[in-house]
Amino acid sequence: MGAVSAAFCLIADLNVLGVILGSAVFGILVGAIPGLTATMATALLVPVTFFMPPVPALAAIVTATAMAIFAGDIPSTLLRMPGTPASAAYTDEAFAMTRKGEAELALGVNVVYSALGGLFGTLVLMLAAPALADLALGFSSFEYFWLACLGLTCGVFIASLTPLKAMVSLLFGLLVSTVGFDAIAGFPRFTFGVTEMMQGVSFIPAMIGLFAVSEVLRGMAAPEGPASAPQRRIGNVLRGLGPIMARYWPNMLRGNAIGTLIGALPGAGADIAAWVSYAVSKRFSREPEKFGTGHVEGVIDATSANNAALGGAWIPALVFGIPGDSITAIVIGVLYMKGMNPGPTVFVQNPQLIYAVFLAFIVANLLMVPLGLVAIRGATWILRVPRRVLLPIILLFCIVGSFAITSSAYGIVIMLAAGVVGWIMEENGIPVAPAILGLVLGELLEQTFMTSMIKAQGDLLAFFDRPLSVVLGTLTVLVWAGAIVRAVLKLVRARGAGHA
Amino acid sequence: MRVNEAVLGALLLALMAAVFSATAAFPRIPGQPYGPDLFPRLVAAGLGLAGLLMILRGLLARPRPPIVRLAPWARSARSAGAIALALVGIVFYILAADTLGFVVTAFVLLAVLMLYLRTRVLTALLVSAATTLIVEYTFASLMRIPLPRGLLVVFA
Repeated sequence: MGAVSAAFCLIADLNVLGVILGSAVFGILVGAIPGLTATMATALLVPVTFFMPPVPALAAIVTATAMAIFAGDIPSTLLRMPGTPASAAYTDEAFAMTRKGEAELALGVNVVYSALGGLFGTLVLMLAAPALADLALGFSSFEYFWLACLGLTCGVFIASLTPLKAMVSLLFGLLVSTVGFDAIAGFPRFTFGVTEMMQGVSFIPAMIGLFAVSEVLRGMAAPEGPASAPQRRIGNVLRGLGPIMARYWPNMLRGNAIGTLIGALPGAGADIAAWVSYAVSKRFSREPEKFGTGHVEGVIDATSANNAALGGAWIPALVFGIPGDSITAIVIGVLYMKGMNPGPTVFVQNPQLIYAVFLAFIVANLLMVPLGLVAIRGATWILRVPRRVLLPIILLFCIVGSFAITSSAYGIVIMLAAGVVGWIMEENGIPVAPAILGLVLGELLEQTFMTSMIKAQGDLLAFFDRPLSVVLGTLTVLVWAGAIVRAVLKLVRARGAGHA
Repeated sequence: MRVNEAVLGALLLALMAAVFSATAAFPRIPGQPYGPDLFPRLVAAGLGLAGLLMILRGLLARPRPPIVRLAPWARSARSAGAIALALVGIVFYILAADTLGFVVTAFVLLAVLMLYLRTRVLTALLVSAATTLIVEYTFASLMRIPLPRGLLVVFA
């Protein structure tokens, strides 16, 4: 219990609470402005949290992302423009409710179910993470190798519609992660004679480039969005929620469960959780014909799922150091820089930090309802901020943030390069998130692979020697085999159709 | 700007070749069969394989996609200019910040971008000035990040 009360003291500090409030407002603004994502909120926040102690830093990221995922629902419901990709799955449905004159109900559902979903995800995180950490204490390099492989595999096959392009993105990230001193011999690789490259490609500037600069470049090309602010005055959004909650509680729990599970799968985050939950909701609904006409049922499933996914994503991140989504990929980078290597030993050595993260989740989701209500009231004002003013400001934040990490122009150069690469990738339909996964996991993958190879003296069967490594290894091989079989089947079928 | 998959695939093959030739000179630890070149080469081989698949897909796709398909922004000089200006802006900051200092460089960067995007002149100048000063205050004074002072060194 000592660690829990220590965690309370860590969170109940005035500075920490101030940081939480500030990042909550920041998260709502970023989430509510279409085109800016929760991942971008994290990317812009990290340089600021870099100079804080671990607890406020982590609390800031937790709060900002939770708020951003909820706030994405506001323009989605009022303007049919998802504020973040996590709201895209039910944008049409929520906007149809607005057209039917049910904007208040849709927004009320969004804020309440988002908060409840976030709390559910947190609960699962609190129960599952310590138990899994106990298990993970017995892992050797073989298990970690397979775990990293499994995480990367999920990132390629689950998170993407185009596995080949996702794989290119992932491998590219892995290749970039090999820049700098190698883990076994300490030999500087691919540094092109630049001293600063010896430490590797600086992670945070790279991520700011991939997620924020590429987004700014895209926005610069088309700065004028449909900027018509919502016409209607928003009344009391909590009215009429009682009967809805009584009727649709199974939908909420289903959305929560699916969201947490998908969040915990490496590579898939809140946006995919929302899509899957919405589809499941329609499939099992008693009135599927109402979907798409402004029916609240699917919105409940999906908005419950995307916030639950946030908590779920922290489970593999904290326990194994394997990110559940692109936000926790950034978090892992932050943890490494703070000298707290994520993994089961954190639970033994610094349990108060883990509990502090749990508490931050709870505080953030409780804070979501009052702040969310204020944000909905102020929606007209928030949605009127013009992008032509906003984009240059975001670009300046990117520059200063990257500079802050390295204290030199090196960070800005990395940011610029990553921004251009990320933009070109997205232009060609190559997803960016797997590259970040590769960049984060590359070092772990190489280190565990090399250690295992040296231990096994090249005998690949040794990778399947230990009971847990058999399970993890077989699982990975099965996912790969399944993907290959599916690709071959698709090719055969396409051929058959071509001959017919 | 969407490039034909076959072209992307060829680029990946070239990348693989570059990695293999760059790793050829990596040292080995005596008595150790696996050196620092193993992992990058495995990854590069994967990229090469993916590149081959992309070349196949690009060549077999029907109807055959053009080598380069222009995105909407590339047909509008104004949009393409905005992207170029943002990139030039970052390079300008990298080159000029040490001499001109953060305040001047950031203000010029913000104001030029905002004006290009057709913000009203007064709004652009006021917002740029306010943003610059707020960033300077929070990052340099509160967070103690050594933003370049440049011309304003006299006030330091």
